[in-house]
Amino acid sequence: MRPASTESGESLAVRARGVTHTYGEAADDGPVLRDIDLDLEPGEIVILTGPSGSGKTTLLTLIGALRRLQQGELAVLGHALAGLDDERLVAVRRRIGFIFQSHNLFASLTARQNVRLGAELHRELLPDADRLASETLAAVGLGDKLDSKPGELSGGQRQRVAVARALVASPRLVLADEPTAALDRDSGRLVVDLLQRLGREHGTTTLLVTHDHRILDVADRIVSMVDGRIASDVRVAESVRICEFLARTELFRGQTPGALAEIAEQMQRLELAAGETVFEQGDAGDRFYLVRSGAVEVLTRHDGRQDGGEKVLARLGEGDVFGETALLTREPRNATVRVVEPCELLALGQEDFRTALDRSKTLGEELRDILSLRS
Amino acid sequence: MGLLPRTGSHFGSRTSLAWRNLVHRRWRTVAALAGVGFTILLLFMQIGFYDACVVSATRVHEMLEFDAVVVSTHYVFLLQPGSFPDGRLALARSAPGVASAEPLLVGRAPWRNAATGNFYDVLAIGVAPDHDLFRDPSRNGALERLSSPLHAVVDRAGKPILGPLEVGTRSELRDQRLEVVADFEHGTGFVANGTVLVNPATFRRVFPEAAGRTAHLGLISYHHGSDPERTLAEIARRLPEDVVALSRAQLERRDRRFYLSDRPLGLIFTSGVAMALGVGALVLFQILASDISHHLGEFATLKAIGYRTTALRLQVLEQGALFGLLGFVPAALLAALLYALTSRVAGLPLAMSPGRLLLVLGLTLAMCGASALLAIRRLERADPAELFP
Ligand SMILES: Nc1ncnc2c1ncn2[C@@H]1O[C@H](COP(=O)(O)OP(=O)(O)OP(=O)(O)O)[C@@H](O)[C@H]1O
Ligand SMILES: [Mg+2]
Repeated sequence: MRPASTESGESLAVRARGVTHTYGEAADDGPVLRDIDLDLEPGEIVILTGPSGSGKTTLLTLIGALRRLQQGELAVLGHALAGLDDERLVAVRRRIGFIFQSHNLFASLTARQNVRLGAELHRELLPDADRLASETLAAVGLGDKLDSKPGELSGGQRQRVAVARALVASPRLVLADEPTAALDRDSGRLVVDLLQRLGREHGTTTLLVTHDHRILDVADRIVSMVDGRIASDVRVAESVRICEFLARTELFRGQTPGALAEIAEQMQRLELAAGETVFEQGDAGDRFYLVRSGAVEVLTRHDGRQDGGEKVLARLGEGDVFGETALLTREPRNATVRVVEPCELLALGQEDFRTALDRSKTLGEELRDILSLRS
Repeated sequence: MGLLPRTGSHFGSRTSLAWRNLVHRRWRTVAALAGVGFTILLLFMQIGFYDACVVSATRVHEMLEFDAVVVSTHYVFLLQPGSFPDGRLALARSAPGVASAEPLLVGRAPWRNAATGNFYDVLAIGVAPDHDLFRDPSRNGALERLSSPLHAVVDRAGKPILGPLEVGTRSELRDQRLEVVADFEHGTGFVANGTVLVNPATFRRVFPEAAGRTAHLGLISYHHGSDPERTLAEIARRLPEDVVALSRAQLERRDRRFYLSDRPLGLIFTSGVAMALGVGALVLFQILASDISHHLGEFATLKAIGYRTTALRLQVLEQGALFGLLGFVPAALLAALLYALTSRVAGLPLAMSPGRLLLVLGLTLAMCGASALLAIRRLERADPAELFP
């Protein structure tokens, strides 16, 4: 089945709206998932973290069509799961690769035969099942263990066989719960590299529950759950990029990565069209800006000419910052900033800006010195 | 055979989990097969003995030439026939279509083992030397030798405990000294250890109660081409109330019923078969169910990755069938061996037949199917939602 482009899923791999789940009849402790909204794009690797009992596994089993949806909307690979009959749920599951913490391999089957089971489900893959199984095992570094039975493999190797079984049919969506917990650094890396490659080459989406810090870098997003809710949803690559920009500025040079990440997280994204004004000369200064993309011009009015005779002081592009002076001096804006190319700005509020600077008094003082030198 | 039924148009075969599981846990499989095989062997033996009973019940009738019999209304079975005045046979002879009506005397008497001197019961038959008693005409010539009251014709197929039976053997039937003057080979079945044919006069000395002009069985042969039903009706019409005329089939049915229904023999075998099946099914159920319980995680995983429960059910059925088929082969071979041994030692007509093989195979597969269906319910416990920690 191809994912139908319906209003329920568009081209998203997963689209959850208001998903709420309660175990058992008596909801003593209330729902374990509350009003979850989550979109997963094709090809994305999303890491799901959060304290024990926060509902990560429950969310995974709902998305994997292993549990019945109780409340809310959930579309997986284009299929709205609510009200699907068992047969259809099975069809959805066939397009998902599951990686469980307990590998559950059949002791009686060789590694290759275990992996084959994942391919044999798909009629069109049956003729090539052996080749696919061998290739997938090679990709997880087990090319020399094709005919070994689970009893002859180490825990990590078994887990990699299970990973190969999940990936052998090139699923559109991979759901994994702590897949690298039993693996050493190198094996864990093999597995996540494979997931990354699948994402790039086949648009496979991965939702990964993990506490393994060694693999956080593969995440496009990190979603953290607390108490059945999504507490934060961070685009990791984007955050890294923003921190890099911030670190390059004189203002934040020398700040710790943690501090930078916190600032990045506090920044608000604004999208502006060409010709729009960010702020006018004389406005009260309330925000600090980073140009994420596009371009703006900094202008000043000529003294005495109220008709708008303007002088362009600077043209700012990706990675440039502006708006700090008014915040530091607590005076009105000394220039106007106008968009010249459609641009994306990240804005940090006055309070957050000050807090960030005050984190290191000396740093703040140093900056004021720098600024005084500038003027 | 595989997890899913194969559907024609593509290549590549699916992995047979059932088969792999059998091969993988060899010793468990051997133990299971021993259990299943033993059950199948029991089936073969029970059904074999039952069939032997059926055959034995009419084994003697088989060797006799007749289309119908006249017997006393007190007839119970061959060895408890009741008696009637042999004049009744003249009435039967007068019926149209009847070619001959000959009296026969039957009874159980001890025969002396010529080697050990011990006595064992045999079926004694008193027959006139000129009576063409045997269905197999080549045997009838020997009967002429019975004109001497000291002669006996014996069935070589008698049990070994009867001692030497070859021509020339001198022995005794109860207290009558006899010499074996001719023999044939047929078998007596359950009725007795062997068969000894003697002159009617000799018979009456052994069985004084049979004195006078009495007969136990009147063997009637029809003319060629006469209508059996009408002839039988004609005979019956001429006979008084103390005797009845029975067709060959009616007589055989009576004797069979005596062995298999009137006595608990049939019940014993039937319940034996049922018990063997029950125990076998229970053993197999235990094996299959524990196998499922041991692999719940694996089965749940298969469910999770998209195998239908039906496919998993089929694999349990397949495993049950495999146990059955693999247990069947050695059991059938062993049964054939035991049949040969039993028929040698006990003189029972036990032999393997294609029909028996098919019947036991059918029962085996039914038993395996039933156990698998019971065990399959455990699959419901495999919940893919419980797979994530
Ligand atoms: N089958 C179940 N029946 C009843 N309650 C359950 C069941 N599974 C989970 N829960 C409860 O639901 C809550 C969320 O559980 P869940 O397994 O989703 O958490 P988690 O985030 O995966 O935790 P962990 O990191 O420990 O795996 C917990 O309070 C747990 O006790
Ligand atoms: Mg969990």
